[in-house]
Amino acid sequence: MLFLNPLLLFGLAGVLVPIILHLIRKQAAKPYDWGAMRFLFDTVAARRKRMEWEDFLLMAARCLLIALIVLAVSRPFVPPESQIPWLFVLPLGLLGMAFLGGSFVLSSLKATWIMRVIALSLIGGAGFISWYEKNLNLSRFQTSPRRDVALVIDGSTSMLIQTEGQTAFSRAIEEARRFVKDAPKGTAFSVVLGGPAPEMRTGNPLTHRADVLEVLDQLEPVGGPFRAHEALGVATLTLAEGRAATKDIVVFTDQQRVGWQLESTTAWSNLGDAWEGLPAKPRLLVRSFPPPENLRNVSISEIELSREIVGTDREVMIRVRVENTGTEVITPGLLKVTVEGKELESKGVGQLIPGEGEVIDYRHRFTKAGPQVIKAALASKDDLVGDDASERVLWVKETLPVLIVEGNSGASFFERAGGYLGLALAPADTESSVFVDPRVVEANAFVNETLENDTVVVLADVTRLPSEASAKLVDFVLRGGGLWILAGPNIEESFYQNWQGGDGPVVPVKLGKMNLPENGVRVAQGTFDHPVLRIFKEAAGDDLAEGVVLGYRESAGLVSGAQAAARFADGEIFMATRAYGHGRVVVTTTGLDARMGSLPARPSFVPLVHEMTNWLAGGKGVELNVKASWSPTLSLPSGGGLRATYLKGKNGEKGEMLNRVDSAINFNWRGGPPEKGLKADEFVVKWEGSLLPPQSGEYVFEAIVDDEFKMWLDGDEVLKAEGGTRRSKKINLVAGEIVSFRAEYRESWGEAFVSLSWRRPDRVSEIVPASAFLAVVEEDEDVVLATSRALDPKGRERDVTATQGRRGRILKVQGSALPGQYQLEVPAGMRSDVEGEETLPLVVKFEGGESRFDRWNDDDRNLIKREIDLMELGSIDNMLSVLRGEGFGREIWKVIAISALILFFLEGLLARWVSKSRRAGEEVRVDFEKRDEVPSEFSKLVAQTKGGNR
Amino acid sequence: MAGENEHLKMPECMRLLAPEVLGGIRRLEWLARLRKQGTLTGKHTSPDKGVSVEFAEHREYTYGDDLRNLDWRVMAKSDRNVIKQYIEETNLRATIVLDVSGSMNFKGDEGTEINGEAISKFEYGRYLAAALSYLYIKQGDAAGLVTFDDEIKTMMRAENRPSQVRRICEELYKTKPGKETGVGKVLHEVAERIPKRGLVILISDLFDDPSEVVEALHHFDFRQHELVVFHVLAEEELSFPFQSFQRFRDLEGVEEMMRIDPQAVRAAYLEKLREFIDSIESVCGNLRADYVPVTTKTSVPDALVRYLGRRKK
Repeated sequence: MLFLNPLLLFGLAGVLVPIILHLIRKQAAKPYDWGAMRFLFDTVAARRKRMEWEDFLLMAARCLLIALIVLAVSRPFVPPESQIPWLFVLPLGLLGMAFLGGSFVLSSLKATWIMRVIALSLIGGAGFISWYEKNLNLSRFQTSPRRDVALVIDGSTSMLIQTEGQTAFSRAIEEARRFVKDAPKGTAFSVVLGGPAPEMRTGNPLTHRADVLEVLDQLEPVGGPFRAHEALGVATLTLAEGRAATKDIVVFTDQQRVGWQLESTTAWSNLGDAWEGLPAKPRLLVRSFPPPENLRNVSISEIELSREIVGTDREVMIRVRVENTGTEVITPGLLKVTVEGKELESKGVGQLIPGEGEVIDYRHRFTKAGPQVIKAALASKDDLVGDDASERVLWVKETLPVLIVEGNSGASFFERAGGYLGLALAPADTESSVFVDPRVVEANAFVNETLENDTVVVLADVTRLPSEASAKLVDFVLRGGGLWILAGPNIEESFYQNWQGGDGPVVPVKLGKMNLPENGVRVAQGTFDHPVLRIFKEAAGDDLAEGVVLGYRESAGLVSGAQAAARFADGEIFMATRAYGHGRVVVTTTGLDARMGSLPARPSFVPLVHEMTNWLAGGKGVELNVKASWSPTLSLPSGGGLRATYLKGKNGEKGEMLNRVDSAINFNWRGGPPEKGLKADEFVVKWEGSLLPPQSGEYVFEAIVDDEFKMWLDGDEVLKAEGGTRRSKKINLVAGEIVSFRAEYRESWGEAFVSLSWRRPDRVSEIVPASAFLAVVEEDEDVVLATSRALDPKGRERDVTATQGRRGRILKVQGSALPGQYQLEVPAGMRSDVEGEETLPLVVKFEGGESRFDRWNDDDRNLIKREIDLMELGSIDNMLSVLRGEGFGREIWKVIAISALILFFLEGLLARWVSKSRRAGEEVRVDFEKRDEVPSEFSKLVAQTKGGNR
Repeated sequence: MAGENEHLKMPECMRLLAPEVLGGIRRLEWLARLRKQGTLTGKHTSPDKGVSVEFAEHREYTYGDDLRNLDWRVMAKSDRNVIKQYIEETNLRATIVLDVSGSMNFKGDEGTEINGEAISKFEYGRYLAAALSYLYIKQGDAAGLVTFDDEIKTMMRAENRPSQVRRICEELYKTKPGKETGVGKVLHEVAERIPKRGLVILISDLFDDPSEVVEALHHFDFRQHELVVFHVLAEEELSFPFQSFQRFRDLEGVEEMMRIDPQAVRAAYLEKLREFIDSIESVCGNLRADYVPVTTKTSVPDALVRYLGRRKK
């Protein structure tokens, strides 16, 4: 317990007053010579015990009364989250004072000292605990003349909920203004507006109050989630700029759990470390504005599509999920869905109880390819409007080009590896719009394919691929392409086993030799474990299992990151998948042709192929629905490569001619120039970027060049070749660890060719593939490649910057990620990455958590308290008390005062009762002389003689 | 009597009989005589009927003697003031037994004031003893004195010579208050040493174990003494008027000072005292002894009146 007027506690010395008075009374009694002692002895002895206890009670009551009054006047309060059970400690301390007083009344020396020891230990204990708590809290409530306070205002969507006509946000601003006005002198404020990305609204903490108030007045709710954790980080930064010794962070929020990262102890311990770094550890004061008990809120939680890849060839189901995220029953009413600018048929949503949701389905066939926005909105008004509408962007594909690489071209149709597959994929009806567009090439001719326009590549029982081709394919997958490997009898196991790229082994399983079981084997539908195959598991019944597979390749195990999608009845893997870079890879351990059994003849085969192809195609493309992170960001996946600069002149002195990304250093320009604009002779090519080794171990680089080639890794020259072949020394590299890469080529005259290859630690030699290169150098990440503009959901213009990321280019919309639809202008040089589109719709998804009002629980509080001193305050006054160093808590003086009053009356009653009982039946005087009555006649005589004087 | 007669010069000790103490002694004498007449005396009824008794001897006139008894013829003849003394059938031998122990020294504020100061029980007892001895001698009885505290201090045999009064007063005057008390024990000895069949006037507060006192009183009865008990107590002892804390110092010297809250002990103290007084009274009643309760507040004459005016039960 702490005291608001601690100095008044000295009044406890007043407890000694009754004691002193008692002692004085005793001492002042002068000795009185008395003859009739014997009559006193017995009396005193007999009554002593009882009288002593009566006196003890009275004295104790008086001392206690004084103690209570003093205590009440010094305004005690129990600080929040006090560990000490004051309910016990305080009464015991008071009891101690009572006992101490009472001990002076007792006569038995033993009893007196026992009582005093007990009393002093109780008082001492209570006093010590109080002092201890004061010290504990000292730093909490310490005043310092100057302090920095960071005000963090939650500007999330949920702060727009109105209570009694006022939004939580405006209430927060009001209280913040009051706080600023009434704060003690010497306080400097900084203001942070919280949202999807925290915005620092002041620079260094300001001491001029008017300025701070102005900033507060200009604040507007941002919408979206409240990334509290990040906002605290920004607040900490502003505090670090301040100069005062004490620091506080005040957060005005509705205390929704979402955004505080309360699941991540690392995030909080990082914050804790940041706080340790400040000159003084700050306190976290939270002023919460909880939503009203009765919240009417319905939200659109999801818009889903029945298929990942949607074309214009057929209908797709649009599923809109409407949920009641409030605490009251609500009837959402009409749901309007707009697609491609046109409204679909409105459907009504029935009554929902809190927590209940409903899915409304719409069928729609898209007419246009390209990015399309689906918008769903609820007509009714509820307490939180921000979540009543939602959007989703869908890139409708025009076609799905599939390239089938035939590995068994010599055979008849049904025995051709890609035969059935091609048939399954071929359009049923050539007149209606085509969606899947399969092409077949022979394995030998695959080298010439650019794969620019393809979405899925099928290697149908292809023996092996030349390294250039395989590197190109890996790059293709990394960029988002899909690869289906049919491992039939013709494949060369070693090639597939050793096939590696920028994301590790390409093939999901380690393929082994052919296994030809006696009676064949069937597919076990119970083992289907893949989003595509699950449908077959349920819907298709046992159809696929009817087919017999005559032979399959054994797999010696799954590669890391791969999953077994389906197995045969004997447990061996039938299909395995893995995500690879941006793309996807599927391997089937058997050929899907007549050689290998009757599986392709099953009716379910065709839809299986379609759905698998769809899934494989899912990797490609740009994700236009992004989470509400700091700023809305669009990733344009592009493959590996190096930044190439082509310069004129023998030493490049004649200036830059061309800037582009080269996927590999493997050129043979023969006698001609590399590009238009350059001469055939006298040019320099410089490559810059980073090398991403796929394996750990020793690498040896080899360059074959005419005229000159030099290579640097991490700034060290590792290879120099002049006319001819040259190898580098063995260089040790670690998988995944980037090293900066630089190379230079000079062409003086004559032939011009250069190729850079390496021998990997697994002894495979190949041209260094594009997937091993990143066209970005560490320092490049902040280099702005291009700029453009975007419109945010509120219609305001925002800047867009393009930078080079590791996995491709990044378009970033400046400012915080307000949920909703943005219109992004694509910079000219990047339109090829997005199929030529000039503007793209970008949707920042509304985070469902904002609609739900999970508030902090005690585990959350404990987590936070581990890192910082947390105080949750119910009012501005409490906050100001904290600032002033007064501390606050439950004041208990009233309880004490009332107890004192009651005790006062009790003591009076007790005293009266005691004195009454002692006087009871008391004689005034013992009857003495009257005992012998003088005979009346004689008395008369006496009276007569008295008059006379004979 | 012309001029100052040295016989008339009063010794100090005679202060005990001073008028301020006794008031009009005449009245007392008259009352004493009344007592003897009629049925007012006890066993020793004196068939004293007027003045027709045998002439015994002359004795010196002393202050206070009845002038009617003055033998004018001798005075005329020999220029001596003598009075006639008659043989009276007086087998009244009165022994005044005075308690001078510590407890008797209690003074208090309420006692009768003599010379501006309240007197203690001890002083009261002395005045009483002196007065009684005078009265007895005056009427021709013998008087003696015993003083005691935890032992017998003085013992004067009862005699009826006129000078006895002075001698008793001298003795009383000399006496100083003593220390301890053990009334009961000493009284046994007193009872033994006084010749049988006398009149014993006990002046004491009788503060002792009541049973012991009772036994001692029985002893007097056993010795065929006629007993008169002047039970002398102080006003404060009877009313215990103390309000605030008092430290009581024992006059009897048995207990050290006691710190007591008087309010707390009053009722029970008075109870005890009353029991004590009751027991003394009742034993006196059983023994047919005169029980005369007096407090120091009562003036000595009034006390004597009470005694003298009693009807024998």
